[in-house]
Amino acid sequence: MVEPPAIRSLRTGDLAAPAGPSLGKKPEALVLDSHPPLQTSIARLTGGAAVLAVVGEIDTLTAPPLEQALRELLDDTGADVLVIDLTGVTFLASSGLAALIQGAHRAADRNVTLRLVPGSRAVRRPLEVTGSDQLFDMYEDVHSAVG
Amino acid sequence: MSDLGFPPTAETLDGVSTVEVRTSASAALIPTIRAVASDLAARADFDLDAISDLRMAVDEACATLVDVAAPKSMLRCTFLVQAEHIEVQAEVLAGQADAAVSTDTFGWRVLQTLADDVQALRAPGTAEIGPTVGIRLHKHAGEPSR
Amino acid sequence: MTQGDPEYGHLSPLLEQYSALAPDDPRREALRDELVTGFLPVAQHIARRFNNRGEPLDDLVQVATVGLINAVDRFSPERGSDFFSFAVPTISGEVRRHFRDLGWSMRVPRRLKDLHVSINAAVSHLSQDLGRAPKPTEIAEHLGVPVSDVLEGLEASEAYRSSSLDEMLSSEQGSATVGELVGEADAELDRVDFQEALRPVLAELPERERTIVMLRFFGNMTQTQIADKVGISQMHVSRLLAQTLDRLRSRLDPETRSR
Repeated sequence: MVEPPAIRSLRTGDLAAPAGPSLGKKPEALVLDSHPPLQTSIARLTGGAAVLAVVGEIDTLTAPPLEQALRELLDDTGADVLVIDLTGVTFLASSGLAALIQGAHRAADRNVTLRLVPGSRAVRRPLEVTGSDQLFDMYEDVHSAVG
Repeated sequence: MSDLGFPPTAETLDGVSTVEVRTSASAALIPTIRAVASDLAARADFDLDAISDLRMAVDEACATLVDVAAPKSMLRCTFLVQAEHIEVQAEVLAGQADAAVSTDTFGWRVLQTLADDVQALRAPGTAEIGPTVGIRLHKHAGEPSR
Repeated sequence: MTQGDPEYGHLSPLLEQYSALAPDDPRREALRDELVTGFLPVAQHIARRFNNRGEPLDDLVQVATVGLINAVDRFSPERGSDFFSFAVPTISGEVRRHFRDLGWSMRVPRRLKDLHVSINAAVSHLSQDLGRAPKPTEIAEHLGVPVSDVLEGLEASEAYRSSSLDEMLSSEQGSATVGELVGEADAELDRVDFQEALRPVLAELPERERTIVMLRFFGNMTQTQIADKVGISQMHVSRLLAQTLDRLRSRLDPETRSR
């Protein structure tokens, strides 16, 4: 059995509140907010892989933190392998898909193919149906992705 | 708000369940509408991929409309549930007189991929209130078995 | 795994046959059953490795079997890797995901947890049979439960999940969260020169604790391997390591800490 990699460093991003809605509108204070913040964390593993783990729902409000986290992941030029762990994601909207695609293109500019662990149907299906899965190396679980 | 003429077709009263959800036109409340979409599609026995597609399509439609909605206005989302087929119409009172649903965006292309049919709708405003804009989409229950 | 493998060699030509069959070939079901049955000991073996965590072995075996079914379905011999190096991570990934899902379903009734496992298994099986995603009624019929149960289960799985990174790290380390694991001592110890900075500190530790730390960081052993060697449980090793690291951290010379 392969020894699980130890973490060398970890950064987490927690949104206290989701980003406001579109330009020109003041965010309203809502009594009911069915929208929890997106959690992201980037871990650099001893084997040389950097893993961005995302937990929550990715839609218009939470796509910006995802974009930010993807930028940070791509900034890690020392990592051998870049992995996006979406197994904690329960919904992926088109804005999230767009962020992922943009990430894939930025990575391609540096001759890097991002590794993606989709997890559930909510992530897998949009990627398949739009053909965006072709932009990534897809893995069934994080263990095999960090390789 | 000005009505976009829903339900649109003649056979809509036979064997059709109608569910209407109205929320403040705020992105923070769209998850609730997504949950309704998922629930209805699951109860209508859509296959799991079709449920996922509908949920994402409804989210896309609502997010697009919330973006152009007038401040403090409502988002209205109506579901017509039939045996093998759900029709969804979402609409908002727009904030600007020239507001319209943009159909040359990435989001619209995704919507076209997810739904079997999708249209942008618009009813003109008056001197007092802005136009009503909406999106109507259809989704079938799934592919047949092999 | 080669044809010469005494236990599983006979299955390797079947794997090739299976991956070559068209999706609607009537021979698929029988061949798949034969493969899954043939490799079942592998799934059982992996399930047993997770048996010390309070989950019934039966559940673990069922989950591991789902992983095996997925591995059989997704394996393609042309890719060059042998079946085991593909199947073992796929199967253990499935079991790990099960534990991760249990984290979020801590507050969810046992009934729904069972449902979750069963639904996943059913979806996997039915997707293959039908050539498309199944419908709730098809899942319900397959499981012999009311559709309302399936609807409840599907709705629950659209809710909160934790990250598998959390769970991957917790699998060998007990139930520590990522935050606990990355405690500075652990990260620092990787960078600090043990020989010089830590020797005096290690010498102060009781022999058992010193042995454990040395085995972990020099011998590169897993906690389970250490537990076997030292003669205590893996959970005990985990606790001792955590305590020892705390102690070491407080004794580390500030000059030798990076950042």
